Amino acid sequence: MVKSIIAHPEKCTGCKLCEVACALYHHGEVNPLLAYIQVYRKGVTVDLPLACTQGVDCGENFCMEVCPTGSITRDPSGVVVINKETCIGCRICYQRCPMKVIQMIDGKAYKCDLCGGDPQCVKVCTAGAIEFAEADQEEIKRTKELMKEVV
Amino acid sequence: MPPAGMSGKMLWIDLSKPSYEIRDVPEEWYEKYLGGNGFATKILFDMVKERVEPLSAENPVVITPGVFNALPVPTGGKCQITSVSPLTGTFSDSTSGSPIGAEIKHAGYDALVIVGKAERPTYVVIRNEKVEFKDATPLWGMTTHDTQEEIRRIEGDRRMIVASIGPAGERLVRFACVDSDHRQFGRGGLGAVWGYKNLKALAVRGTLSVRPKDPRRALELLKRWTETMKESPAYRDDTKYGTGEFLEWMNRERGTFPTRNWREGVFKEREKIDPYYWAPRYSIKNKACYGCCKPV
Repeated sequence: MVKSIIAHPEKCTGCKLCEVACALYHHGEVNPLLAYIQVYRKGVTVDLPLACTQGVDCGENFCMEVCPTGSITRDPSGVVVINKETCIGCRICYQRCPMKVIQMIDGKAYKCDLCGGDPQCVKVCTAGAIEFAEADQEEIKRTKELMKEVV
Repeated sequence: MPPAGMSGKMLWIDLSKPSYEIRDVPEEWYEKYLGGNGFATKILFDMVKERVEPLSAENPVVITPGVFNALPVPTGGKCQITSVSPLTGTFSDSTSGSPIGAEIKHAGYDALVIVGKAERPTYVVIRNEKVEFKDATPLWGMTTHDTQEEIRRIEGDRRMIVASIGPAGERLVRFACVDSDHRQFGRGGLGAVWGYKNLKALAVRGTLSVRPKDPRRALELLKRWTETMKESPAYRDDTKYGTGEFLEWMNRERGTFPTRNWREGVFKEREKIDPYYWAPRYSIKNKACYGCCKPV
């Protein structure tokens, strides 16, 4: 089973260092709009880190299925990746993504690529709120329930 | 050229007109005053020649993100409001871990200066270089939390960061604070200064990037600090009890616990407000200031 970033919202403190690390690693700048992990906050008690599940539980909205140019595929290690050359920036994946973690940057779609196998976001989370592990259906379902309130 | 991580720009707002102006930060300020606290002190020092009435149009309100805001530096995520306090009549600053500091940097500013007094309750909306003054009359009387939620709803942006006063600031309570995302600028009664100026709230949304000088090295440092932090026993204790961790020490060892408006330095009935007492009983979860790994 493919690994992805699993979130444990009850441990998340809302510090957003994961967003900082992601944008820094991929784009050399600090900007939440360039991060593929997104932390949503509601009130005082809810902090919800959202990350790509690499296709687990995406259903009919799975980016790989909805891309009209076939630009989204699985690489040999199982990670879902977007081909920038063939991406036409139609935004369909961006709109359909159930976790809302696809970013449109300069007219192209970007998503979590697990940093080539060593996800940086996990390395900067002191609270243990995100984990690089095999997908947990229960945890994903709980996250989606929480999303309805927060996003 | 401003140093990496700083924009070189300040936003000056006059609530009386109302009007705004984007100004350059003088080059030498970065070397002499660094930013954040340093800039705020310099600005207040220049603008307040002798005395200024705290509750007045002339009293400047300076809002500065820390130099390390929106950069990969844990503990560097605070924002400061500096002004003349209605409580003390003199220079006063108050710091908060609200994400508004980072948002101000993402909007492209190293400092915000607000002068004047609005004719009617107003909230200011900043979206990068675009500044709007909006009618806050329907919000007047609302609590800080409700104000911030309502402004996000009106502006149609759930990720907008808002700082606001509540009924206390509106009524010029001398120790009123400014709240932003449930983290307060609590000292000096600066909420009353906002209230006098009819400034109900400040809403910011920035989309620009902040770039460290060496992004790769900055990320390596952040990862190293994270490891160090996680392994430290002090970190484990701090995250359970936060800054209240040294409540007992302040009382017993130092006698510096503000009691009855500083008439005393030891609070004899402190047991029930000690986090060692209430955290195990009432704590739901940990919350961190923006960009910091140390929660509470």
